[in-house]
Amino acid sequence: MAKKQIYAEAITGNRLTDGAVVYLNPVGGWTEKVEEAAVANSPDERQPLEAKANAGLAGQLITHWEIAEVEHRDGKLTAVKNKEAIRSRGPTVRRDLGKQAEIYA
Amino acid sequence: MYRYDEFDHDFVRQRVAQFKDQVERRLSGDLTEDEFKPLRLQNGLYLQLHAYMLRVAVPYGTLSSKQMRKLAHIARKYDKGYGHFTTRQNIQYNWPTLVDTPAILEELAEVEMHAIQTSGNCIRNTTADHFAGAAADEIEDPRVWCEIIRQWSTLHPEFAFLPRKFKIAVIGTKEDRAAIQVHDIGLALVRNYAGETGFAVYVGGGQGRTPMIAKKVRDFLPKEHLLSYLEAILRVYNQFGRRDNKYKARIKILVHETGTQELTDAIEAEWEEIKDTVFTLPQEEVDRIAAYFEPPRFETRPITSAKLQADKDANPDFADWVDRNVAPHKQAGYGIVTISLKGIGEAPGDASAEQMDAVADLTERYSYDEVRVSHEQNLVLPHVALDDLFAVWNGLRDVDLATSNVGFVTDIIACPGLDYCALANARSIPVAQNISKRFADPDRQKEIGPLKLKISGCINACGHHHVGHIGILGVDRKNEEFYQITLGGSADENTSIGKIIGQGFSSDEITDAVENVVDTYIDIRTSPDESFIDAYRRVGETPFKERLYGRA
Repeated sequence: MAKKQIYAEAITGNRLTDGAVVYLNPVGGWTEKVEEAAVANSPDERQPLEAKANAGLAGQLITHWEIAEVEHRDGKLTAVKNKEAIRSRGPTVRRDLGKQAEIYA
Repeated sequence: MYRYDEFDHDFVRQRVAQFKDQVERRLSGDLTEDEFKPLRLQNGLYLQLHAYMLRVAVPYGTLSSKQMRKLAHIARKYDKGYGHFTTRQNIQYNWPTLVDTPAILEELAEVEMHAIQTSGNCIRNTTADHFAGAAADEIEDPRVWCEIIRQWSTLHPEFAFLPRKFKIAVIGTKEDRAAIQVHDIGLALVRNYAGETGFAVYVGGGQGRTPMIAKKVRDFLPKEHLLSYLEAILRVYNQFGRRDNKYKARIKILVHETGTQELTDAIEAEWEEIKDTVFTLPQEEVDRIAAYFEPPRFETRPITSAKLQADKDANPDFADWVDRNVAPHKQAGYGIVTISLKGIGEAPGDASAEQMDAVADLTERYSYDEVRVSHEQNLVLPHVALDDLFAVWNGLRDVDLATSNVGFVTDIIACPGLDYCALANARSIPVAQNISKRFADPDRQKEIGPLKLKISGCINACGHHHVGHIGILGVDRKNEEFYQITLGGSADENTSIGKIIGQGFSSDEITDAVENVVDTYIDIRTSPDESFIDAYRRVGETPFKERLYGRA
């Protein structure tokens, strides 16, 4: 098992036009994949990410943003909380829907 | 069925145009999200876990084939090929985009449908007995009154910003199939000693984090005073209902904190002021609306059907389905068909576009163009000739909708839970699916008999767990799903709130726990005729606790 990080946060929101779950990426864009999210490993690192997220709000790209706990698991960035994990992938009862669809296709 | 007049058409079209403009202004940035959110919610558009969710109103659960086909079309064109029928007799789409929503609403308006007041702190879709107009023991069709309530409550300026959402249900039979005693207002059509019909009025029921059974505030309300009395109740609630705490804002809390008698007095005093004013219903208007709900022109048929008997004799699976899913009709030679949306291992209440289309075809051909949505998340063909039941069953089998389990343990109500809902703490659908698979054997279900199992993924209780004979509530404990069992709830004319039986079970344990509860019931019942709820009421929780936890 890969070792868990102590502090790791990503910024997530929903895309305004279609409501899709998106994550702020390192260059200030929004990606649908949690694996591509920018990660803050300390409160200091979070500040510039929040500024970029606010720009996304101002640009009418997202409905809102919030912090999501993330961790590197087996070398891959994933959400820590159950709710966020389901949110990042899609309904567990319909593997053909949501972002997981391409994995299970 | 009710048909829009010119006013209705204009009203809904204007509303769609207004929302279209609001969406455009949101997309351009002229409206902020904070400004836009209440506007989208007033049009039924939520933001859920994965995407937007659109809740479309199905007034008193009644649809035509054309409307059902439109729902299928929307599922196919704008969503992901399916919809979810809800406990408010509505339908929800889980994946619409904001950009498409005005077009969806335009399409709905073409078939006299909308999403107005399916969210927000207003009067929501008024629900009714899903057997309305067909039930053998009915005093009067409750949908006439639901439609009157709909016209009165839609965009009612005084009640657009109530302390909290407000739900009304109406029935026309002694048997309560609409759970009226867990509604903010429940109305039951009754006859008085003079043989006149009116309403028994219940106020202050509800589920959520503080489940309460409604209190009867009036034994008999003359029908012409329905709106003045509702207006009086809503005025008292609007004035005195708590706005300081969202969790104490429903009318049930007001009734509880004020006391039934004092609140009744306040309602009656308000009513005295307004009862003989503009709110009095003119008989000609009642008659005009009642005409829309006239029964179909049924054919004269014998009470029994030789064809039905022959079909049953030749097909045991069909015979089982008739015994389970077909209820007596007020018209000789007809039956009421419940279409189970609880196929074994399926998500309760979900229907694919293909299934909706097939149901629409059967509706048009065999049920006088009427189909209903039940609060138990099934569909109902209310008027099917007994001779046609075999054809209907075959049509349903073609699209996997012929499961014979209505009222059985696998006929589960479940909210969307954490698989879709932003408020949920735990998943509901997989729990329902696992229990359904565990009890899949039709003979075992028959042996168990009537049993209502209801699952909610959070304390908001959208899955009605408080009133399940067996209720399951999902909770999150340190990022793990646990499930509490309640026993003894009921949502019929003998409404009761279930009691938490003990500590929760993990997702791996919950199916076994439910099976233990059911097995305990089988062991203790006096005979197969004693139902689960009757046995529980006789013996209480002790034997169930002993079985589940090894102690009472």
